[in-house]
Amino acid sequence: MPWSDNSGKGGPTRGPWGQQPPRPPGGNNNGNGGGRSEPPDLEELLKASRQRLKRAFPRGGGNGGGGGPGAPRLSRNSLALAGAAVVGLWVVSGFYQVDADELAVVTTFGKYSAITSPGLHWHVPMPVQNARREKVTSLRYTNIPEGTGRRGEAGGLMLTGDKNIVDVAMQVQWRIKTDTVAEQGDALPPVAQFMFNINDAPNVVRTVGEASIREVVGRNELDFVQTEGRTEVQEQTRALMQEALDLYKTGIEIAEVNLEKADPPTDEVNAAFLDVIAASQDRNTIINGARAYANRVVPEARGQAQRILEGARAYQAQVTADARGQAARFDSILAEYQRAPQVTRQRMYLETVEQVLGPMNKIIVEDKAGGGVVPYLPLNELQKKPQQQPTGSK
Amino acid sequence: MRQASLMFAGVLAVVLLVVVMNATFILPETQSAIVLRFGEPKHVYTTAGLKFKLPIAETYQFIDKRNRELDQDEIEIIASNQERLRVDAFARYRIVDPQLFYQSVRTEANGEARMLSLMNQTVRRVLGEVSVDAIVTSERSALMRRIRDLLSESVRGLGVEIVDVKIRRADLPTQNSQAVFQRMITERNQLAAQIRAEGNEAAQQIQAQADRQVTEVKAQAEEEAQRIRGAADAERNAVFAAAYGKDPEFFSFYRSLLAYEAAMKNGDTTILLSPDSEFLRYFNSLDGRKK
Repeated sequence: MPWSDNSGKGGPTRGPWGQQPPRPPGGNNNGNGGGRSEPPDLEELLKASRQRLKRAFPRGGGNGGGGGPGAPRLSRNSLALAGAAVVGLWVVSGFYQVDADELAVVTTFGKYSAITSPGLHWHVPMPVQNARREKVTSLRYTNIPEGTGRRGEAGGLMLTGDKNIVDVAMQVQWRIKTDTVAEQGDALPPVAQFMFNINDAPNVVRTVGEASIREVVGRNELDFVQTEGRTEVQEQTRALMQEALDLYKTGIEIAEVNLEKADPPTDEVNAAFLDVIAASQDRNTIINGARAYANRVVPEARGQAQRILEGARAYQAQVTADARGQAARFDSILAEYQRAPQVTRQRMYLETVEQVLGPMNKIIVEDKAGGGVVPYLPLNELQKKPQQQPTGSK
Repeated sequence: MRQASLMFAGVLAVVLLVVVMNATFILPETQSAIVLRFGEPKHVYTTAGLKFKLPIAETYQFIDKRNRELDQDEIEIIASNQERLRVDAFARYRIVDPQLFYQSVRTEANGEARMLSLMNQTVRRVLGEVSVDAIVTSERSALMRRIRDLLSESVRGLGVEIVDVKIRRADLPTQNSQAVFQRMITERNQLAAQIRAEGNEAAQQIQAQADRQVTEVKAQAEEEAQRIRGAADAERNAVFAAAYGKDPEFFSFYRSLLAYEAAMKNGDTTILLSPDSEFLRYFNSLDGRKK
């Protein structure tokens, strides 16, 4: 067996480089030294051509061990094999995998040559060609301003068109354009632009974003930025940023600009803003109070009006009924009277006078004596003196 | 013999390799290269790829050709209306003529320092000519273009293209900001007061309208009530007139009796009667004749 002429320790079932307990420093070190010093991925290569190596290396090892007549030939063989292995490794190192969310840019001697899409690819290995992968589909986020987003941090303060100050924070979502061909007028497709045209990708997004949001906010008024104009501000900022980034040929696409806040700049100003909202509430409250008053008072008045009307109608009913009753009574009496006027008249008179005089104090005074008597009458019994006169007059 | 020739071949190969490696270099997409023969620029390469030079005698120098940022520190400018503004601007530039750039400033750091001082002057000059309002609002982009154009001219000797100039920030100095905050607060206070006053106004209006309605409704009711009462009285009179008109003399007799009855109902009246009265007509005289 080829390896049995070594120190003899290697069992018949083991290859010369099989994993095994420590072996003496001599032995077949020379033989597998070339293989062992290679990086781990050599292992696969070795497996593929194990048989050939098995045959070749022990001889090399023998050569190192004791020399022999066939040494030069064997040495050339092993050199060739080592060379082949190196070349093979070199070739294999050209394989690369592009993940689903990536694109790779292949350069030949540093010069852009192609874009490869997801999958397994091969390029002429270094130093001739190189492939750089870059994530393109996933969004990247840049917060403007950096920092904690506390109110009043200088980074977010900016002047509005009506010379107020507003505290703005926004998030920019961006990615690399996924086109694999260069746009008209550009030498490189977007991913390559991203790699080769700028050296400060997140920074360029940030600085351009800061400049753009200030430009947009500076064109608009505070109320607009804070309320109905948010969407428009976002869109204008996005457009401005995109314009600049295209001008710089960065290959960056701004997917979205989110205005996270557009707030008053300090707590004091914020309190004043909140007070305006409170004032609106107050206004509504007081108006509602007034409405409630109106809603209570007006129906009540209508009720009272109804009462007045009903009172009048009652009066009408009462008065007319009374009048008709009296009239009817008079009619009856008149009819009776007309049948026997003299008697009836006499009777009515007497009956009435009887009834009227019945309970009264009565003093009968002779006409002739009257003038003399009257002054002596006790006055306290004559309270109703004026009434005496009418009764008796003929 | 064979071993010697083999060794010679090996040495030759190594020497060749060293020479080839020294005669070539890879120029990446991000850079331009200047080939210098004993320090003197001989070639300029601006496109990437495998480039050649004389071994040993020539060296090469990379010059970045990417779009780079020139970030100016915040400066305080005085606008034409004497207001102050803190301005933070940046420029994007590209080195388009590497040889010129190399000859004038050698390194990128030097170049940036030169450009920054030029930019500082340009920014101050351009923004000093206009008002704060123009910088902040209306003419911002036009001013940025103007700075870019002027700066482009002044850096022409550096082999640099100014791609863009942007005002990153243009803010008021702190003490002015405080004044703005105060103004914003007073504005809001005004607005709040106005809203509240409007609320009161509306409330008063609603209440007054309600009160007017109340008065109106009642007055209309009173009017109607009087009309009804009048009609009732009129009807009463008509009824009486119709009835009593049939015999006015009897009516006055009848009504007088009713009146006596009603007037002296209480019975606490004292009356002096003359024996001559109609009531006592038979009191002194049997046949009722008068004496």
